[in-house]
Amino acid sequence: MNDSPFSLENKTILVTGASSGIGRAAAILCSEMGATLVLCGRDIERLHATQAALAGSGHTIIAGDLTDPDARHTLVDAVPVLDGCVFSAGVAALVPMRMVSERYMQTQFAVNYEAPVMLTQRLLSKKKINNHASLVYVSARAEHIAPPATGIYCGVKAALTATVRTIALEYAKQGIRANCVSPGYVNTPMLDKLQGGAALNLEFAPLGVIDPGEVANGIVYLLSPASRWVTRSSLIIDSGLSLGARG
Amino acid sequence: MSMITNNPFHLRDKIILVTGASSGIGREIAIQCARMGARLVISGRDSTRLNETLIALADGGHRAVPADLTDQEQLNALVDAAGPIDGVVHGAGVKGLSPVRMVSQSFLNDVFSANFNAPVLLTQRLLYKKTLRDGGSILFMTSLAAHTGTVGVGPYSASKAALIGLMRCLALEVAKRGIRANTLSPGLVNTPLTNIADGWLAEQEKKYPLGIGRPEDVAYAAIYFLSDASRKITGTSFNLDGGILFTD
Repeated sequence: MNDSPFSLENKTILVTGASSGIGRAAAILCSEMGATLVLCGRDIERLHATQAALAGSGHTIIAGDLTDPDARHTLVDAVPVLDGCVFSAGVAALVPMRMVSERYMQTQFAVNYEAPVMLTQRLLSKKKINNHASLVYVSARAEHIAPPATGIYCGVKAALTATVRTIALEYAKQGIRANCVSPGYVNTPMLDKLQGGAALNLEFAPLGVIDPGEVANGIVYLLSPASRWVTRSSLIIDSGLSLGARG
Repeated sequence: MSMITNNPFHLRDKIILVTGASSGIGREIAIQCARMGARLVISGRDSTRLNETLIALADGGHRAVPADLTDQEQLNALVDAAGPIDGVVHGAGVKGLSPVRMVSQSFLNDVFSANFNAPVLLTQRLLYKKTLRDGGSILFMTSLAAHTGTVGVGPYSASKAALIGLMRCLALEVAKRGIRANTLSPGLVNTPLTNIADGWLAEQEKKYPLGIGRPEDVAYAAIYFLSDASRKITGTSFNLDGGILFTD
């Protein structure tokens, strides 16, 4: 299938949060679909491990903490013009409202909103996003469900989704697309931390546990020419978890 | 030479039933599914045009079964003729345009019979006869119109919104067999159904940040939702609409 509309051949794609979980799975599948990757994350050793798992060659690593404006600027200066970006770096924690601290809220906002949004801003202003590029943001199905103890996490993810929808409108003229994937509970190290060894029953979802690779499939669809007409959209990948929810 | 070493976006070893395959989006879905390796069973009312679709499919044991799905006997015959399948795309539909003050019972019956009852009853029959295999994918075609207000589009919008409501319940009912149910909600796509008057499509196009859609845009989404690449997606309504902000 040399002419697959899902091919990412001849595309350069930046993946943040590429050292583990959804970001790592997305980077691997992007490389298997023919893309050249720029991997970003904080942990250089784990980024090397991701790089070693990639298909093809020519992939690069730029380590950095994207909540730091200087790190964002350094990254943007270093990357080539991009045909796709996957904003996968994120953090989740369950905190009931009465326990929410300023510091917790600021961390959630910095990692899950400010970093992807201001990285996008810098990439756009420095003209590092090619015409017809695709920007894919990892949001969360929880943003519409808002279960207990997720007030700040869901609020920040919902803010991200709203901003992505605006970006989609502002850059449609250049054919640049901006979409979200909206996963349910995905079997990742982030979820392991969230559970703290207990609590969440992942089997509760009608189609069972979601692996990072399943989310990567959706991300690759949104990056590829197959989704040429899709923008301002959210792709829900939640194993049916939210079907019974009022939303 | 291809640089692709692993491509999960294919339909090899799958048999896919596509209704409304005699033209427009349904025809394009059939053509693209065949390109991705599926064996097709295509259905539609117009056997001449259905055969044109059959000729347009890539090689490989595809079959055309003409049927009017508003007729229960023809629907049953289609399910029998199709045999075991791995996915179904309910592409058949009618327009259903009328201001509310002009609708009649017979008009509503016709619109709902084609756009709601037929895909639901076809699904019923596939499940009852157990010919949709475990892990299969059910894909309904709804519309941007199910989510937006547009003057004169009430019956059509309602019939498509009804499908979304049904799909969510269906998704829960079939999950234990690993079967998935989803809807695609495209905006305006250039097809014989919509390309009705000179200039009208061009006027509509201005509302769409990425322009109006091509049938293959919907077909590629259908391939993703039919393939195992989306096996954890169920109960969703996916918007593909060129980023439209407002309709009118």
